Amino acid sequence: MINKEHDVVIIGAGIGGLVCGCYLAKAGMKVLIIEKNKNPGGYCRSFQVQNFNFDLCARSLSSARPDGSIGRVIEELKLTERIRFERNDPSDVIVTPHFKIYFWNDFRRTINEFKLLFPEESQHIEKFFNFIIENKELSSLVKITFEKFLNLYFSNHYLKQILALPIFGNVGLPASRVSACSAIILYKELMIDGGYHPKFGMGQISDVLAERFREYGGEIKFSSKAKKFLIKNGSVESVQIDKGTVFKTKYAVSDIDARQTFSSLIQDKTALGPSFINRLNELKPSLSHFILYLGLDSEVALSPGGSYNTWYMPSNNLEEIYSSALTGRISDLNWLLYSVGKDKRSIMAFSNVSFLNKEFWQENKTIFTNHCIKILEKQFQHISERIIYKFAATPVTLSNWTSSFEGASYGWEASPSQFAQVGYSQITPIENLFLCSHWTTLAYGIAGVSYMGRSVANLILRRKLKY
Amino acid sequence: MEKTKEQIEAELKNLLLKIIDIDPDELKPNAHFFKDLGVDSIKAIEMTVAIEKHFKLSIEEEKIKELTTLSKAADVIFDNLEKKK
Repeated sequence: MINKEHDVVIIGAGIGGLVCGCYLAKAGMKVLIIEKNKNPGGYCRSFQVQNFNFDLCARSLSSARPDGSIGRVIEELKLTERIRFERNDPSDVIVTPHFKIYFWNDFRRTINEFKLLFPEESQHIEKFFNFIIENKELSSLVKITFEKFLNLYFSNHYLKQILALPIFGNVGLPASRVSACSAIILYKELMIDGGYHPKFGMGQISDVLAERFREYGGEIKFSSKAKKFLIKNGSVESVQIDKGTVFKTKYAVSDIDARQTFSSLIQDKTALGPSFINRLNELKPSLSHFILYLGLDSEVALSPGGSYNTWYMPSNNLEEIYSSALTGRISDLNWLLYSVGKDKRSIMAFSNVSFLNKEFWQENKTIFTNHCIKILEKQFQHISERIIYKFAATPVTLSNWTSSFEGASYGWEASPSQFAQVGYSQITPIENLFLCSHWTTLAYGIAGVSYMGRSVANLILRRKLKY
Repeated sequence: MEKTKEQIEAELKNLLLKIIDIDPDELKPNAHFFKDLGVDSIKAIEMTVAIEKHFKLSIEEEKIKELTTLSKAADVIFDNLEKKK
């Protein structure tokens, strides 16, 4: 069955797809979003169970200032009245055996904390953060790692490990492997504009965007999976979904992972070419997550007050932790990122892990759950006796939720050799096919995909004007 | 056949128009990418990587800083291709 022609068909109602859809529908285009789940948002959702409120995966966001990636989208789509962000102050805290470092909304205060803890590096700390906060042009750093960038400023190994931790937690790579550009972009957001959370959970962003998209005249088909792009003369001519329906379209946007987009949805690879496919097969996905959701019978004590992200870092060797994550050496994975809910009774704990295989997680899910609770015990005494709700998501769970390749949490790995890859960013070898998720070798997090969604919409609108 | 600076500039213009969201008329030779055309840090990185791939060259870190206008970027590419000979 062939349906009426659309201007744009978007695969996936993640934040990138929703933002892109909103801008296009607002401009008067006839836009359809195909989503395999029953709800919008992908990793950006919330759920309630036994009176506990949890976010699914994305736990907070940056860049909600008026000229930030999210702030701009919210303002341009006139959603300021519908989403109320609360900003945690501090937004993040790093906990080591020796000290705690808070990331305050006032970034000068954060810089001063670093200086007090590492007085011998004081001047370098000032220069390092000034570069991160002020620098707008990063192209000259495109080929180097964050480790090399840190080495330009610091000699203290421990300080470098501490500075690398939020990057490890936000893209899943240690300093020696992560691109300096990715790290600096993330750091800037963390320092100047981090720690936002919508009043009703992260899922509120997805719900509000989906609502706005429909108000602009867009249509979302939930519980529908895209099956293939039908290509003619190097362009997507139509999109076929699992129920056999075919939607003709002028433009297609993929908000799902790039492997599926190019390997499964495009069956005739002529338009892509062999070198493109070879490179695609070489690209590495980022790490996935093990996420533990806990509900407690009583409140935990927090100081200073608020529900911020806590980066618990007992070791000083992120390289080893990364290697343990890759190989599944659970007992060596002794770091955790955790976030306590506003009720002070719900806790989400995250650890970067690799997909490995389904059997591994069948065997190790309970072992890892207990391992994480043991780590949390060091922060919250007798927590194991207070748990009344417990659920664990492994990379297999994440992969089932979003179909993301190997449950990858941040799209492609953010290494220098994979950063800003031509053909794998917004623009693809298929003339009218665009990518707008975190599988674009460019952007990470909710801020990043909002940027991508808006940017792709602009590219399509400009082409529409041109032809 | 060797490319002239004008040919490089025209090729570069087409390449950049695919990456940045602006009207072709706005992409004048001396318009500053960051100050006049609203190119942000992410677009700048994409542009650099795209230039290196398209023209099959590797631009030194110091020279990357000179990629600020269409005309200056064409100069950097031209010089780089000259050196390769």
